[in-house]
Amino acid sequence: MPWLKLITTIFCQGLFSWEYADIIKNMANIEELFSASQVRPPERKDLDIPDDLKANLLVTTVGGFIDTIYNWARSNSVWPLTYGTSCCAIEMMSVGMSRFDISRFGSEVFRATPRQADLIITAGTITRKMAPALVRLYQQLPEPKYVIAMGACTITGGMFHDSYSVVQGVDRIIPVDVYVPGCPPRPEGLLHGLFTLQRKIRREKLADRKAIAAAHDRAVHDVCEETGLILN
Amino acid sequence: MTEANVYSGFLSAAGIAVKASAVMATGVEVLSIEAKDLLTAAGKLKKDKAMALNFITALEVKSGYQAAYYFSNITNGDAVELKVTVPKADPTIASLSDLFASANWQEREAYDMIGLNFEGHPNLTRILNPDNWDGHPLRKDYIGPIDALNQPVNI
Repeated sequence: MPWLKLITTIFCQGLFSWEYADIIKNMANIEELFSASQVRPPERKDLDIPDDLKANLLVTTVGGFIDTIYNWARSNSVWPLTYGTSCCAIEMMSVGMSRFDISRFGSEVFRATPRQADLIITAGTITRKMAPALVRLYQQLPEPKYVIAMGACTITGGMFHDSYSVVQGVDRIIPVDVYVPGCPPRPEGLLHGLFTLQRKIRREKLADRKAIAAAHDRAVHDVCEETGLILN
Repeated sequence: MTEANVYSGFLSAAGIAVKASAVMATGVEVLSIEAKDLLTAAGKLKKDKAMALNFITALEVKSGYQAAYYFSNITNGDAVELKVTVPKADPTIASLSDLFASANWQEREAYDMIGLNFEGHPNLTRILNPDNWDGHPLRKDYIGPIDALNQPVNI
């Protein structure tokens, strides 16, 4: 069958379904995973695919295939930084414990240093005194890096938004990928934020990585110029 | 429970003018004294080794900035609070950090937030706000920073 040599194929039922079918129903299912990353079910008329195989066969490009596998692996091992500045951190700890158990989704490895982490969950109020430290931590994260703004304080300043010392939203100093509202959000809310981030990761392309990294650097640089946060 | 006016009499006997005195419902004597007498009064209280300076608090009142020193005796539970008011033009108070080690950080906090100037303090620098902060946030006329991180809120 010559089309096997021309196109990359995945027998997806065997390869992927074990993970998503059991763990959670409303997470990205297998069709969503592939529709997000340029992988399409076989529709080409010139390919002579037997009917009984069509349900188990996906047709993609080499780039799309690599993106899919790479993002699938990456999105299931998002390691967060141990970073909690107030009460949201209690919910973040709860998410790490056995009742909610973020390790079911590959994010249980809370790292003590930003150089080994992929994600900052900004759990708690960010003050003006803490802001330079947070920017420093963000800069020390290796690319690809992500930020979940957890709770009202990191989204808008929350109930402290008219305080002289509180930054009115963490997105004023670092780029944010996912917002999780709540005061504090329930652990399920943070898990949903993580799923949202995983979906976002699965939609990324390897070819865009350089542009995304440059955008992150530029955003932080602009903030430092504008606000005079002390950095070196 | 303090016997009524124990510390008021104690300080008066030491030659310190007590401007006003009151007793809280909890039995704590509250005595207002002159700023220049504070160091002497604290020295007299310190003669009792069981006397501890629990906390210092500061606030803004009409006549100036007020600092309140809460002392308590750790053996019998007696407590006395000394209040000192200084004018806004020159908010200078003698530091107690030589007498009571617990005064050190408390005075730094009062300096940071209200702007009281503690004379004789070994290290009178900011403790809560960043070192390059402008102004003293708990003053009534304080206006916070307005920039890309903080913007005024109109509700």
